Amino acid sequence: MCFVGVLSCRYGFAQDPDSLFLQGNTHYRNAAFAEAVDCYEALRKAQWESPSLYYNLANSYFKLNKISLAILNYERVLLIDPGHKDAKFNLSLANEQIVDKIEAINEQFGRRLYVNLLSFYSADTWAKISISCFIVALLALFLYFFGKRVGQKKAGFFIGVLCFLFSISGFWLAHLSQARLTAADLAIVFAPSVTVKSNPTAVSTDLFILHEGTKVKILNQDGAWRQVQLVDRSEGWLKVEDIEIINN
Amino acid sequence: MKTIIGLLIFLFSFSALAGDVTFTASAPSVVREGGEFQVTYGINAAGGKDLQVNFPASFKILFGPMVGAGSIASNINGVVSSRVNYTYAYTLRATTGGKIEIPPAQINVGGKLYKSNALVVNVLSLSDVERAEQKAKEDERKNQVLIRAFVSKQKVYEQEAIMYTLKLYTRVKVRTPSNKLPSFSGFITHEVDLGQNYTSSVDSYNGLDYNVFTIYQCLLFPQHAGEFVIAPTEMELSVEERVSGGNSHIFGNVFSASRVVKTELKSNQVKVQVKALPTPKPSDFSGAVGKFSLNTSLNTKKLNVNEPITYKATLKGTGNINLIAPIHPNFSSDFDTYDPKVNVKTQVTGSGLQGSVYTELLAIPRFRGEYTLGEVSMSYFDPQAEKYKRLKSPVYNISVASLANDEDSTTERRIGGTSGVRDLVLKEDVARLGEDIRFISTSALVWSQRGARFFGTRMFYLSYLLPLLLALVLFFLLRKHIKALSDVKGRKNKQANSMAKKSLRQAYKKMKADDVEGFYEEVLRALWDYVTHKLFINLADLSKENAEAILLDHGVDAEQVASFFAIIDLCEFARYAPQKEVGGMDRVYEQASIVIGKMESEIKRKKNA
Repeated sequence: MCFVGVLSCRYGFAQDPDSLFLQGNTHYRNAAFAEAVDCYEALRKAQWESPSLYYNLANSYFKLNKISLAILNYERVLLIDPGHKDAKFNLSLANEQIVDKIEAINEQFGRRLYVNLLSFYSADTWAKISISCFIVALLALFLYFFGKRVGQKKAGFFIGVLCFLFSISGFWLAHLSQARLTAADLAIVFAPSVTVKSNPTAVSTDLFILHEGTKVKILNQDGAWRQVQLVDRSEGWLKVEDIEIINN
Repeated sequence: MKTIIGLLIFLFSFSALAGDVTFTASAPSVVREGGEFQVTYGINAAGGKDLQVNFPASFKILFGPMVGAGSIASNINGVVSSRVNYTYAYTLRATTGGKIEIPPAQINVGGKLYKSNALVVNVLSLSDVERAEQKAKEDERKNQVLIRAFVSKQKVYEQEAIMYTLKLYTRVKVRTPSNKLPSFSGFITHEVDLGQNYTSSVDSYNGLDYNVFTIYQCLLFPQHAGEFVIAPTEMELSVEERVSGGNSHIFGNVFSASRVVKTELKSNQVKVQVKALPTPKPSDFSGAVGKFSLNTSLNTKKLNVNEPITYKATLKGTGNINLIAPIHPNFSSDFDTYDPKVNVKTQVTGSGLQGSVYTELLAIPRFRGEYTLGEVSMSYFDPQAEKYKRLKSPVYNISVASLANDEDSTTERRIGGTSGVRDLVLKEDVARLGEDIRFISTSALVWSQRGARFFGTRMFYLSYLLPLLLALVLFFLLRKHIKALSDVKGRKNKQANSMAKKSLRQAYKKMKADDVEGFYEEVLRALWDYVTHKLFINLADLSKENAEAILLDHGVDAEQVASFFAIIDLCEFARYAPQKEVGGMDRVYEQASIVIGKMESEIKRKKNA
């Protein structure tokens, strides 16, 4: 039974993600965390994604004490759903386990609001909203032209203009949301210990040492080197193989 | 021969008569290979110290230095003189043949360093036969004393005890052994106390009989699996050697028939193969190997708040009992527990360490209730049965009652009264026991395929384009209709007739309601509205004066115009000079309808013509 479970975990066909997901959950409940990881990763390999999938995967890695992988997946959850309370809480516990203690500069309120608005709906949902508003605008225009009464024409005009503006906003939000998700500029350090240098060469000054589990932002690249920035705004260069990009 | 040499040396020492300090070395000039000989250093002064000798490697020091002292007093012709003579003698064995030089020795007398003369000793090589004979003697000497190391078992499991024994095999008298034990890395050792006297027995080994003494024993517990090699034990002891004739040294015979020689011995090394404990190991297995039994008890199962309860556990058995952690039951956090008292008793037996671990734990409940003390389980590995066995303590149900009377309750307060005694419990913060991540999501709710996007795809842009195109097409097709709709005047024209009829109906209602003024107002409105709408005339441009002219201009028949204005006049007259003329309104109504009807058909006719 267990063997079959493992086998089916490995081949996450794109048939029904829920069954494989529930299988993974059962493994987790039985404290068989490695098997749970197999199920969840199989789903991910089959290109399924969901905040819950990443959350459960991160929890399983946490239980296996693979903290960097746990942090990576919690960040994936928060990228899609920044308001996920459980992922935030567990991430804070995971961050207590990593070696580097970096004083984070608090996110500005405006920025947080912006991100929350963007991620309220997915990019595709914003796109659909935009299209719907556009169609309603066209219908309103119809009302304007074909309405017999002045009241109808007025209503048609105003609704048309309003919906057209909504449509444009929806389009813009969809664009921004998509850009945010596909920007591959956040990463987690995976190498147990990496020395960050001042220039993208091995013979430059050592600036500071980072340990696995620390989150960095990629600013620039030069060959195999990446310029990274920490949460406290320090910058330096390291090799791409030492980090793992979050939305990969 | 010997005495002559002795005398010669004696005489040599006289050279010190001159008052000089002389330091001389002497040795036989010819020695046989394997033979023993003595090198003597003599100094004719007292207070010599830091004697440094430098014997070549082929001369093995057997014994030395032996210090001798002598003094001679002489009275020659009244001159009394005395001199002293100190000798330092080394007994050496020549191990190789050839002419071998002994470099000078050095001694410090009164701050001055004196050097002796160098010596040359001619060591005669032995023939093969002689060499073999000598080797046999050497072996025999070697075989006089042996150390052997034993282990009770060579194939064991991890943590299974083996007994390491060192036995001294000897055919001669030995004294004061001191040993350097091997490091026993990878094992935990438990030394066995052998008491003051070494037990002895008799055994034969390699054809020779020996007295056997057990000089050291310890239990070894291997801490991991693999092949272990226990290094040999090295030992230094003083062996009494009987000196035989032949290669004897000069002074030996004089003093004793045997001598004490320091010998270094080395035991054999021992190999032990340790098997790993089988996996999977039970979750409550923490390294106990052997045979054990567990006995637990509680002194009571019913008690009051703040009274102590004692949990006793005894683990008995044979095995690595000294390495087992004491049993720890899990009292609920409502109990205050105190450090357990642990008593470990062990004794060594042939199969390992036998003993017991006694644990006593005191707990005091702070709150009343029914509590369950869960079972304590411990797994151990039985190496003989080659499997894991589990020991379990039973589950205990403890009931804790609150105190019956007021006297000493520190955790409970009461509100007194004749009836209705209420207990109050001191409030406490919720105790944080631990921290863990939150549980997983039990349902995924929203699934999406990674990389599957709608925004920005062709489909997306088409969803804008298609409705737009559709709208444009429709607009194009219906443009005439739009134009017509936006032609307000045209619409009004078409609707003029129906509008007029509507107005007349309103007038009729007013007539029925006896609203004279309203009636005439409506009729007027109907008439004027009809005319202006039908003929595209602005009402503002129309006044009573130019109306006639304009109407004629617009091609209305003179007859129609006349009847039109007749009605208008009538209405206005009636309006401003109201006379309740019954039937008058009827007539006006009728006439108005007729006029409008006529104008309508006239215009239609003109249009169709």
